[in-house]
Amino acid sequence: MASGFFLTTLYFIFASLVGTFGIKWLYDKAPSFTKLLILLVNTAIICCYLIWVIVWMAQWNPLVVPILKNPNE
Amino acid sequence: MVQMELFRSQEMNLVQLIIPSESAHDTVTYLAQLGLLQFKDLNPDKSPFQRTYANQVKRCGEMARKLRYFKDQTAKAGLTPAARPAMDGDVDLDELEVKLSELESELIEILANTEKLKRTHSELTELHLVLKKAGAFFSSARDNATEAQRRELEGLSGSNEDIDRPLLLEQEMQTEPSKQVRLGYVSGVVPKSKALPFERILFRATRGNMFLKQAPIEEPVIDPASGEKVEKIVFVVFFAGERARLKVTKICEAFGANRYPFPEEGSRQSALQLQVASRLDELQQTLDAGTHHRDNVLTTIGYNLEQWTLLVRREKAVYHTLNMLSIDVTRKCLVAEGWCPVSAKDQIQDALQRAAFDANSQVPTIFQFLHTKEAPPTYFKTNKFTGAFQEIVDAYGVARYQEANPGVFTIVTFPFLFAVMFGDWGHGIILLLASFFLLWNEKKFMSQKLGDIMDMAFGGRYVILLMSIFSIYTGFIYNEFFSVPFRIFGESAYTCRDHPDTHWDQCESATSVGLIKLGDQPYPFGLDPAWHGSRSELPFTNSLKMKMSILLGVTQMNVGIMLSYFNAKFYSNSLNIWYEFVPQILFLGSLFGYLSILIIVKWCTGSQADLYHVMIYMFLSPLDDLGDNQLFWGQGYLQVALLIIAFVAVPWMLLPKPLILKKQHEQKLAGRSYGVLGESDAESVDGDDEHEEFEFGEVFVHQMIHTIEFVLGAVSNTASYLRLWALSLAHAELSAVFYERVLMLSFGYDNILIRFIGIVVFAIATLGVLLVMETLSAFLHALRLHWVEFQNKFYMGDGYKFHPFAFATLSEEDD
Repeated sequence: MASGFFLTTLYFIFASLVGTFGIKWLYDKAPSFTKLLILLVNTAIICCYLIWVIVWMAQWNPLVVPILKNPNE
Repeated sequence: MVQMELFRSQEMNLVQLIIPSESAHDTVTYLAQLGLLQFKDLNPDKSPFQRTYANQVKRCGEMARKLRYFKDQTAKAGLTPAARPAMDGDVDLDELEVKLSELESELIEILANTEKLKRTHSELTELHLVLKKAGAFFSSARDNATEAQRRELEGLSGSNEDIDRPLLLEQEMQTEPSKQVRLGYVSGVVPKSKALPFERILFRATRGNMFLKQAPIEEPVIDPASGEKVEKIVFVVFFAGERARLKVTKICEAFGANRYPFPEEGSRQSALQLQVASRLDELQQTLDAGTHHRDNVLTTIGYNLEQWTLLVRREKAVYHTLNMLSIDVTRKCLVAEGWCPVSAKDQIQDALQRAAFDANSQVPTIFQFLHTKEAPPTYFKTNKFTGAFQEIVDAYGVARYQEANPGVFTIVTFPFLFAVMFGDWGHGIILLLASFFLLWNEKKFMSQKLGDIMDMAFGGRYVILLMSIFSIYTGFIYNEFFSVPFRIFGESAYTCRDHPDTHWDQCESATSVGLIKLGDQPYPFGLDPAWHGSRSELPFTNSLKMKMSILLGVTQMNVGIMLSYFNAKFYSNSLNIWYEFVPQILFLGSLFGYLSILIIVKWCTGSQADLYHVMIYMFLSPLDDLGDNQLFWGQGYLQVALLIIAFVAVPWMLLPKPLILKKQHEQKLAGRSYGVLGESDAESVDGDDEHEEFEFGEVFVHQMIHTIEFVLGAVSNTASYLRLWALSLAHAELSAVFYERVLMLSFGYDNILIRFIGIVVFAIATLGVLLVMETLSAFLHALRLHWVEFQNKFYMGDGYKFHPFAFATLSEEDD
């Protein structure tokens, strides 16, 4: 079907996992603060994924096509 | 489970401190250094003059006034105080007071003397000038007079030889000398601006019987009375008679003309001039010495001024706080009450012990928790990164004690929504550089005092950083770099219909029916570069951005309603869960959640259904056949079901909660009727009556307002999110206009000057309009979306902020 779609979705999931576990294992502050940071990172990744997927889906089966301007216009 | 930081405010406790009198001052000082206790005012009905430490506060106020006086005088003298590093001895307040009053009296004396000397100096200068100029008059007048007399005498002697002259004439002429009237004169200086009216009034007052001779002074002189430089003239008025003298004197006084005596004889004139000159020299030396002494005194004060000011300010604050404590009847100890975070208990106890030790008191301070029904203050432990976002949320309303804090999500969604409206990675990079500049100079700017605008920009440096990073991301998604699309993620997915294998440059049908999409895959990341500049760009991007706004809006609003569920669970309010949260989710989901699903289905299937039509006719004629607008099987049935759910949800939100509250209240009253006598408010500190009032009418109206607000708000808030589309369209269009009509137009010419002007105009327009105005605009609208559309789903925002008594937060306004 749409391999580009799945591949990119996988990239985003991967980024989320890297972020979450990276913070959990590497960041050395209080546990309440790491929780907050994990939430922030995941929220950011979800927001970014949302607009990517919206723009991708909108172009998948478009109802209009680009009609170029005349170069003399 | 450890709770997430910032999600709910810190747990606070009301504490009571019983402090022995001798350690009271030290205790409060150490607590202020710690900065974790907010004192309650236990003497609210006492006026400032009735309080215990009113005298101390007054003394501190006096000292602060003296310090301000020193600062003013230092500034007036034009010195910059160089603070010597603080000598670490704790300066005693009483010693300081004595020292300050000594210094003040000394300084006042020096200043008064200097004033007097200056005045004398300027008077002498004026006298000197009068002597010089008036001397010139007199000598020239004398010369003329002797000249005229000689001619007269010659004329007289000449006529003696004529015998035919009448005898009377001779007699008259001979008696003339004895009848000469003595003229009086007054000499002085008058301001040049008043010279003309002065002359006029003199003329009128003496009926013309006066002679005024004036000479201007080249440089302005310092007026003795006002101390400023004024342009003056020297005048000499000649008049006859005593009455005229009086009039002239009065007129001189009225005009502020300084009169100086001028001796007639020439020898006395020169002697006086020498005298005046020597006195002027002496005076100048004395004046210089006086100024030098004053500067010395001020510099010595200046070494310690900062330190003393800080000390006095702190002491005043400590005494203000001590005034808030109540004195125990036996007069041996003070009682303090305040709020502190539970986590700070150990630190506070440590500070209390240290204070008791330092003050050598036998009895330690007693520290105990109190139970109260009063609402505690809201305290979020923020660092410099999260603090800016929390301030944004607090600006609308401080969170109620321990309710869910929208600030947690705001940290990400606010810059994100900004970026949706700002999307251009070129502009994003410039914003990023600006934020880097602020962060690079963080330490320097932190200690400086910046102007208002710079202060705000610096306070929001982390916000700007996140905004710029997200803007770069959305810039890639919208494929705009100063409105120019790039092919970073591969070639466009569109090609010419006629010859699909080559680029569409020589394509004829491209300008009539348009390109065609090659294959199934859309452009892998972001907006296809073929769209920019095409004729059908706007219909496509408008549709895309509007639907994106709706989807983002419905998502954020649902997150808001979920937060209200978490709040209800935290406060154990199951009524809110079942009779507010559930119907709200059902209502929003069945209408706008369904719309979102339709959008996604339409995108995935490429159907030509008209979603406006679908939504409107879902309400108007739900049972009709959908025809061309059918997107999936069973859509008609689903729509009817959703409509019924939405209609049921409205009375579900409105009716059950007030009725159940009424029943609960009646049950409580019934259970209490025998327990009233035995009830005692033993534990609550505040003796407020807990009015168990329950007005059913009020509760019902409140619920009705809430329901109407939600139902109508569902439509209006969803539409409100369309501003994401509107602002991003405005940004893209402005950017395109500046690029095409300014830069490209100027590059069309071959002249390098025109191209240079084009670049400059483009840069200024981009900076002013897009980077400043659009940034502020998108900032404001993203803020509004958070404050209104997101927060009205769950936020109460009626708490008050935790304001501990801390030396660190003492501002200069407290003086």
